[in-house]
Amino acid sequence: MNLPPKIKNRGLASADSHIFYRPIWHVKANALMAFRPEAISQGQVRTQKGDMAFLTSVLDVITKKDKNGQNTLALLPIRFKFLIDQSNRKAFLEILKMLQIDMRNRLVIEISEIPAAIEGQDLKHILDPFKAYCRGFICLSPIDERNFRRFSFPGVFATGFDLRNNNRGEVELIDRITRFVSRASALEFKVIGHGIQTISLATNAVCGGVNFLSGDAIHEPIPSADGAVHFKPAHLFGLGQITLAG
Amino acid sequence: MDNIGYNKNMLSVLVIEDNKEFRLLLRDLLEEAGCRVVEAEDGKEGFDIAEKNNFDLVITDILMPNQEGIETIIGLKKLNPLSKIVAISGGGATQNMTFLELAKKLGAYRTLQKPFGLNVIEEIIFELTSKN
Repeated sequence: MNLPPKIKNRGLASADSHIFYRPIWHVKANALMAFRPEAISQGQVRTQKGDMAFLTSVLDVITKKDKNGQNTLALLPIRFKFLIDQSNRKAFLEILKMLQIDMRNRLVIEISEIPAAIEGQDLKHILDPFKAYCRGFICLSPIDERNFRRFSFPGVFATGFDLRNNNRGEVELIDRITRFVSRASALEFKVIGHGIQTISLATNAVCGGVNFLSGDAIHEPIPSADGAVHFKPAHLFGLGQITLAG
Repeated sequence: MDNIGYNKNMLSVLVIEDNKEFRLLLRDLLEEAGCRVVEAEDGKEGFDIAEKNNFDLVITDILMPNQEGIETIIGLKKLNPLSKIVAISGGGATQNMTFLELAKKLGAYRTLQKPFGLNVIEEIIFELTSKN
C-alpha cells in the first residue's frame, strides 16, 4: 500500500543533506526517542573508507549537538565487514575514546550484515573493546534468523531486522516477524524493526511485540537528529500532532 | 450503491478477517442468526467491497495484512459516518487493547477482544435487528 505524503511526515523537518536521520519509535515509551543516521548513497557501492567517513561525520554532528545541550540518543549503524578489519576497529575505537562519557551513554552501536557463519565467541571478541564506549549493541540479522544464541553475551541488548529491500508479501512478512520476535524474546532480547513501509506492517509488528520501529510508515528521515517527541499508535494514522517529549 | 440484503428484515454484514477459520465461523454464526454475509480477507478488500455496497454491520479484525483494521475503520467512517462497525482483535503479543481503544474512539459500535463468546455477536445482531 502506498502511503499518502501526509502520512510520511508528521511534523518534523524534511531531510536535505547527504546524511539523514531516521527517527526510531520506542513503542512502550510512546516516543520517537532515538535517531539512526543513514547515508544517501543510492546506486553507490559502499566502501570501508566510506564507512569510516560516515561514522566520523555522524559522531562529529552528534558531538556538536551534545555540546549545545541537545542530548540525542543515537543508533550508530556499522557493517560487520567494516568491523572485521582490525585497523578499522582500532581507528573507530580511537574516535569513540574522544567522546564525553555522557555521550557514550547515548550511543548504541548497531551491527548489520553479520554473516551466518560468525559464531558468538568471534562476535564477542570483536565487540568487547567497544563495550565501555557505548550504551550497548544491537545485532541486526535476516528476518529468518534462528541462531539468536550467538548474540547472547554482555552488551547486546537487542536484535532486529531490516525490511527495506524485502520483496515478500505482507502475509508472509507478518508471520516471519512474529516468529522472529518469539525466538529473540525467548532469549530476552529486545527487537528493533527497520524498513517498516506500511501502517499494517507497523500495527502488526507492534502487536507482535517489536519494541522499536522505524520506516516510512512511522516517519520519514529528517536532516538532523533531535530530542525525543511523543509518538503514540494514534500517530501512525495521522491522528494527533507530534509534540516534544520531556 | 447496492444493498446486499435479500430483504428489508435481513441484516447485511461484511466480515473482514484474515484468519479463514475464524471468518468462516463468524459467517456460519451470522447466517444462522439470519444475516446475509459477505467476506473479505483484509482491510483493503473489505473497503473496496464497502465502497460499492451498503451494509448494516461491518465486523473487522484489527490485525491484518494489506491494510489493518484502524485504517479500514477510518475509511469506512468516511464513506458513511453512521456505519455500524464491530472491531475485534487478539492474537498479538502486546498492545491489542491500545488499538481497540483507538477503534472505539473512531466510533466503533462495539470492540471485542479475542477470545470472546460467540453469544456476544448474537446479542449485537439482536440489538441491531430490534432497532431496525
